[in-house]
Amino acid sequence: MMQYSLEDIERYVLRQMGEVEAHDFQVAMDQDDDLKKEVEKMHLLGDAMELEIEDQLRSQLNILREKSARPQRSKQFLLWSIAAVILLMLGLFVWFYSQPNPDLGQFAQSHYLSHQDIDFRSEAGSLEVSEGLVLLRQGQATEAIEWFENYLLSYPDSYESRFILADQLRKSDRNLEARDQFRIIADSPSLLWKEKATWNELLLSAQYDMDFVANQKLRNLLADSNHSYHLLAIQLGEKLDIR
Amino acid sequence: MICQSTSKRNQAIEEIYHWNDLKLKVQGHVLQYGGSIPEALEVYHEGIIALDRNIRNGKYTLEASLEAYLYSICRFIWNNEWRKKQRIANRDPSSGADETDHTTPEVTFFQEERKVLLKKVLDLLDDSCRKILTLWKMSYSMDEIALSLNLSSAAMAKKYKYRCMKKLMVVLDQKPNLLESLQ
Repeated sequence: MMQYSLEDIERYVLRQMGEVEAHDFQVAMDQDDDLKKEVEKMHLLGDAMELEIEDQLRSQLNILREKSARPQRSKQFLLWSIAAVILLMLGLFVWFYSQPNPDLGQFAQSHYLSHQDIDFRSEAGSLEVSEGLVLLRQGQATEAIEWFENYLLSYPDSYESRFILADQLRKSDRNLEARDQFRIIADSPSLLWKEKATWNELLLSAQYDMDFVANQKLRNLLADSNHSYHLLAIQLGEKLDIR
Repeated sequence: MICQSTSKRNQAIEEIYHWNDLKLKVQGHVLQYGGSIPEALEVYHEGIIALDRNIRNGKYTLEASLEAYLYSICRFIWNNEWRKKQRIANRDPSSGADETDHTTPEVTFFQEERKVLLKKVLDLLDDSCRKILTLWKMSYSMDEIALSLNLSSAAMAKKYKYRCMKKLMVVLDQKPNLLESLQ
């Protein structure tokens, strides 16, 4: 073989020889089986190393694929976690602010005027409301409420009956309906029931729905030092931060 | 960068891997022609491997942009794969095998066999020879090989390279069956 070295064979295989040199090498190869064999072995070496490079590159690409997938999963997990935390906080916020103020609740409980607490009878005669009262004494609150509602359709100015109705609605946890009934009495000309109804209206509004009307009424009470409930209104105002 | 240092090569490969627009384009082509998303990613991987080989072997001549070149490689790979699948699905057992078809099961089998035998050749090399010859095949300069393998100089790297080549040549002479199977 050996006019050609390993380096020459490498240059031939890698096509680094000039045209003339390559042609001469080709001629030599055709005449020398040993040289031909060495060239074939060099080609094989190249093919084997090419395979090695491909395998390494394939591994590298698989690692990159794993890395790409991992952050996506972490990122998704992080986004879902953040969303869950935000929802939880929103839920807590809504729950917290929907809870009645315990301090206010206690105040309202102790200063609410139920019909039984009021020791006088109204402008109307007691006989007309006796059937409703009988139902109440029998513990039939729902029937009593229905009775009073019907009664008031015929006798809308029976303020005591309306007070009893409002009181029963409150006891049945129909607080806003109770508030509305007290409001009707508060806005009426009734001398006996107006002030008490106003006070109950304010208490129920403070607990469940401090609307514009209730807000104005409370401010009017605060401004009127002669009103029977002026001092209590100040306490209520402090709890509601209304001065 | 592909033919420079290991770190630059890795950087280049990683950058190409994250060409997401191109990846989506390849995915679109594969999906359009009956493939799946995992298959599209495989095609993209094989495309990068082919691109790397063509750059090192001087077949990429800068006529087109690298992205366009890689896309055309990926399309070629998938089109071949798709044709192979179609042939398998539509093959009429009564007809003879297509002798001119380069992707018949027999051809694939022999290609796989050759890979197994080439791996046997690689196993004849020790780790240091394997490393130096891999870098040589990646077209690294002797200076870069010396730097990668902590050798004192380019001359020393060249000396080691030829020593490894000679070693392999001698071992192959001692395994005539292996040599014959590969020819």
